[in-house]
Amino acid sequence: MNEIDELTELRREVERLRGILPERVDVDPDQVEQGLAKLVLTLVEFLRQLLERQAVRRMEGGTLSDEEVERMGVALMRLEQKVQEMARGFGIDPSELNLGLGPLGNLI
Amino acid sequence: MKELTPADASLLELVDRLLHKGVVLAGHATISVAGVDLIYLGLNVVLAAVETIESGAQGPGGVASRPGARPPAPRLS
Amino acid sequence: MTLLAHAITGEPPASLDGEGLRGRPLRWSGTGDIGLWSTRWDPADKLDRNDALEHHRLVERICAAQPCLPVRFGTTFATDEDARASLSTRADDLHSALDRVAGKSELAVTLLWAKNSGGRGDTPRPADPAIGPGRRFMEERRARYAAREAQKARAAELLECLVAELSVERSLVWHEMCTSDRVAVSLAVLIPSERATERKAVLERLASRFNDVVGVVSGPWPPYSFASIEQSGGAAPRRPTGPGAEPPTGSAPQSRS
Repeated sequence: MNEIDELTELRREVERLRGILPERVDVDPDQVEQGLAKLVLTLVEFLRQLLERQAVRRMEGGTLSDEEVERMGVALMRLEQKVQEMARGFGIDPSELNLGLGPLGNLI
Repeated sequence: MKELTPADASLLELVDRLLHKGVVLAGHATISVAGVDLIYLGLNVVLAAVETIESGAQGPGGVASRPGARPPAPRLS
Repeated sequence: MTLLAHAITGEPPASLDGEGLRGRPLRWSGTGDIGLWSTRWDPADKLDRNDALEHHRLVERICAAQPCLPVRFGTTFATDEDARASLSTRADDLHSALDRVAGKSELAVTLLWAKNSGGRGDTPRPADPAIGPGRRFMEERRARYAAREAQKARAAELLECLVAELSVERSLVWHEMCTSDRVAVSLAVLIPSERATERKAVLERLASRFNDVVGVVSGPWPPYSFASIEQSGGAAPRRPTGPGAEPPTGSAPQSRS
């Protein structure tokens, strides 16, 4: 599947979620902060994975030099670690950073 | 990878139906909470970003059909 | 008075009565010959897991008594008027959908990846000191995506097999692939309710013929997967791989470039 198909599929998922998410938000104000942190971090992770996929494609396509691959890999790895660190700081398990709904559907 | 049991599968199918299926009716009252607008905003940001990446990647001839050509770098708005 | 919706039906038979969620009043709000079953709800109450299960049991009870379209759990209306107005604007579509599911239930086939099915290719490679950590990370991700693609291709094959064997009208089948790490295929088929037992046995035989997945057949279910009114024929797609989806993905498995 090429890049465009994948992006189209991802975009459809987000569109679908727009209709669903508001009803799924917990009404408890004490959990709102954590809920928002989770959303923000999920979005960051979503975008990071988008970039990761693009980077892997470019590596496969041979359009990145060895040095660029190394730098890209380190940057993505650090960003992933940072996101996970921040999640844990909010008491969120990094595996929860997913726009899907638990074991039923993974956006990421 | 943990294997799921048949009982797990049935539960999955049940929860899947409850959360994802059934008629979606317009004009209903939503159970709202402070910050729900931020969530919409967040999703809109993601959509805009994905659209930008898509249009960036759709160079003449497309990405896959020009080996050796560098695709434009993705821009995030 | 807020209403928590359960299902859409025609005029109810006298036999259907009783309580809604949490023992609260259950009512049918009709407009013309179509109406909504709902529980009188207090908007201050949060829905929880038990409510979801009770909603499902209610939907089962309603569907056993008359043709019914399950409504998405959590749908609420501020007033009775709002509920009826929402139904009237979609009256024709709702009637078509009710006709489609009358006398029918759905059976679900879930294909779960078995232990021997290859996993996601996360086996770590021996550390090569010549490769930097960044490159190693990229290579590992590349292997992971490749394994995922291979798995998707296999899921598409399995789905094609199943659908071919079912040999029923497209509009009576709903399907989705790789809905999670462990699920290869999730499929639902609409069948006449009185044939449920025999059709279930047929599906169980079908689902057990592959050795890289474990097939589980569940149901009969109320027609959750066929209740959508987004299109007039066939189930609404949840993902591009479902039937009736917009082109170019369609309902056949895609070939990956």
